[in-house]
Amino acid sequence: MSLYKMKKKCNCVIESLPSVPLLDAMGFRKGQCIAIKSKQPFGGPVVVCMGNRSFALARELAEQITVKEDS
Amino acid sequence: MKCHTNQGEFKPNHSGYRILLMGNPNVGKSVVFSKLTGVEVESANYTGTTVSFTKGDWQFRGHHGDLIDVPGTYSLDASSQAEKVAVDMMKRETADAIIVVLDATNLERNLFFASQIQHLSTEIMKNPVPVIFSLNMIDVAERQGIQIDVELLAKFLEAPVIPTVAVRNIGLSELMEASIKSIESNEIHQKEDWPDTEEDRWVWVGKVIRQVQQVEHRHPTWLEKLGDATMRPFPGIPIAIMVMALALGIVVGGGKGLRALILLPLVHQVIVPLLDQLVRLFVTEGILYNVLMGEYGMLVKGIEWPFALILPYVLLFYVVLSFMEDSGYLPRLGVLVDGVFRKIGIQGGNIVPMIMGYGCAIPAILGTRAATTQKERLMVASMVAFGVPCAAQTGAFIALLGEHSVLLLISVYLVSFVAIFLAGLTLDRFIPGKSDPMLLEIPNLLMPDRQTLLKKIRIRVKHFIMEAEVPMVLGVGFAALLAETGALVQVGVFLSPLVEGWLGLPPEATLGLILGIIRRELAVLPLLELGLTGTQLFTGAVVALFYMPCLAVLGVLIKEFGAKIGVLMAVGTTMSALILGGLFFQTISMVSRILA
Ligand SMILES: Nc1nc2c(ncn2[C@@H]2O[C@H](COP(=O)(O)OP(=O)(O)O)[C@@H](O)[C@H]2O)c(=O)[nH]1
Repeated sequence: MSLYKMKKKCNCVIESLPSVPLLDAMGFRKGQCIAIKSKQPFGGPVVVCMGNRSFALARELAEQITVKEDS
Repeated sequence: MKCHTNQGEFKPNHSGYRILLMGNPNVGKSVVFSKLTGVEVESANYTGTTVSFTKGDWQFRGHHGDLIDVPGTYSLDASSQAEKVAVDMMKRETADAIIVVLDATNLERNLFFASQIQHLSTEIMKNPVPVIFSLNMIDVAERQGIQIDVELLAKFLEAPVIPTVAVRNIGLSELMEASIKSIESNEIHQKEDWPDTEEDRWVWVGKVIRQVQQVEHRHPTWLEKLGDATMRPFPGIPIAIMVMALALGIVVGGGKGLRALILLPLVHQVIVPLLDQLVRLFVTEGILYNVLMGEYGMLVKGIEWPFALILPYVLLFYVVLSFMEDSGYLPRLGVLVDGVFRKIGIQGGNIVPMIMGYGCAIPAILGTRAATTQKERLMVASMVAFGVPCAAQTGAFIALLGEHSVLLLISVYLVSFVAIFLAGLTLDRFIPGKSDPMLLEIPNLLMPDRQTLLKKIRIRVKHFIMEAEVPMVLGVGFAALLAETGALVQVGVFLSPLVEGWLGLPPEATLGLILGIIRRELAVLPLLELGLTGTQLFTGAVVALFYMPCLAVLGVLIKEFGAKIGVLMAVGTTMSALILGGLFFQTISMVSRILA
């Protein structure tokens, strides 16, 4: 499922992600756990939390990242 | 900036040790740099403060040398401009050591960066040099319940690791001590056997983290809760509105208070009479006296305008801006407005340079360097140069319109918002290229450190006084000379079809158009005390709002975007100022004629 479609407050694991160098450098990798903190209206960004840092990802990026829910 | 800083160029270092300062963005590198060198660089709690690099000299217990602040980057893959610069510097520099600043609250990613530096330095530097680590922000880490075994970490990295709290000067002497010791002992001091693939290095980082770091699960502090809340549409948007209203209240209300209660009386009852007595010792009448002390005298308006009318707003604006920057609130605002900003083709993060523009356009235009695409840079810089009034201009508007009616003041700002938005829409159509989607790290919400904050405000206000006072006094002197010699009347006659016919302003307003070239607020201030009607005030304010960017801004535009674009922007904004001002005046007078 794409990250953008995930519900708020949900913990998930990254399954695949586009090859954007900055994403990679920020520490987004396959298998990394992230939690969704908030989603902005009007097609705005998703805020995710990884470790204890927060990142805002534009919708276009979030739609290209697939995740699965962490059980 | 002090004379021993050297932005943008470096020569080989002949004496002393050269140290490169590196790190991810937002780890406190600027603070470390300014504490070690005494050179004042602006630091801010958002990504990309250090876009160009700065060099400063350090001295420590009989040793000396220089320190180069390498742009903060997330990695060293050379995938962005800043990364290319960083890698280039490692390659080219004849450094004696590298200090890497790590953020203790975010060790995993920072360690990966550390591994990249150590790996890269052994590969590309002619002679690998010692790498010393500053484990910064341990105070914040502790508050978040993160414990790091520093000794063990140093063993893994095979290099010194010094815990620091840069803002409070903790650990920095130890850092310098360790650096000098490493340089002098001539040992390489760094881990050299690195796995070649990134994947394997991430595995190594994971292994190290598990052994050196313990995270105790704590209840989030109220600041953390607030930090999260500000990023949700609700209550984030109401909070943003409240923050903005509060900021406005502090700047406008506080500025008015400062002006009326302290600065105006000081200028009129103490400073000007004192200067008057002084001048009277030498001249008592004639042109020279009038130029100096007359109604528009250099030493009367030249002091009253910048100090009493403008300075209070500039000061308070920088208090508010510096607080918002250092607390980490601005990027959150960027997240909230991203949806709207996308409609005009730029991402939300650009709100940072735009807000800076309300202080002064120059740092705002330089701040656009952090934007990833040229299109975004051009758009934001043009929007700021076109429609964002700087703090000095705001002070002038308040002086001009605030007394007459607050409604007028508000409508001028509404006009400005609408114009910025429309300019954005238009520019988006005409400037080729695209903007990148938002990908932004949101720093923790912090209580800004008082000392750092005060220092920053001091630098900015000092900068304003030096930048604004001289042109202002000279501009006013020039104006007084024009008025005294009668030249002003002649220019006024020449421009009268424009000023009186098209804009409906009295001939004296010509002065504003002349002085406005020097500084934007000088386009407004000559309109004071002319007894203008509401319509005239509004027209004058609109013209001044969009009028040509001041000389210093034009210089920066040309330097950043080239002469063609810079001049185009200046001509474009001036034309639209005159056209819009005239249209407003003509429409209002037509409507009132019909109604009458
Ligand atoms: N509490 C705390 N704050 C710090 C420390 N070091 C830096 N800061 C703050 O962190 C923010 C980012 O610092 P800055 O030097 O701009 O980061 P840079 O992007 O790496 O240059 C600023 O608001 C600093 O005041 C520290 O050790 N402790």
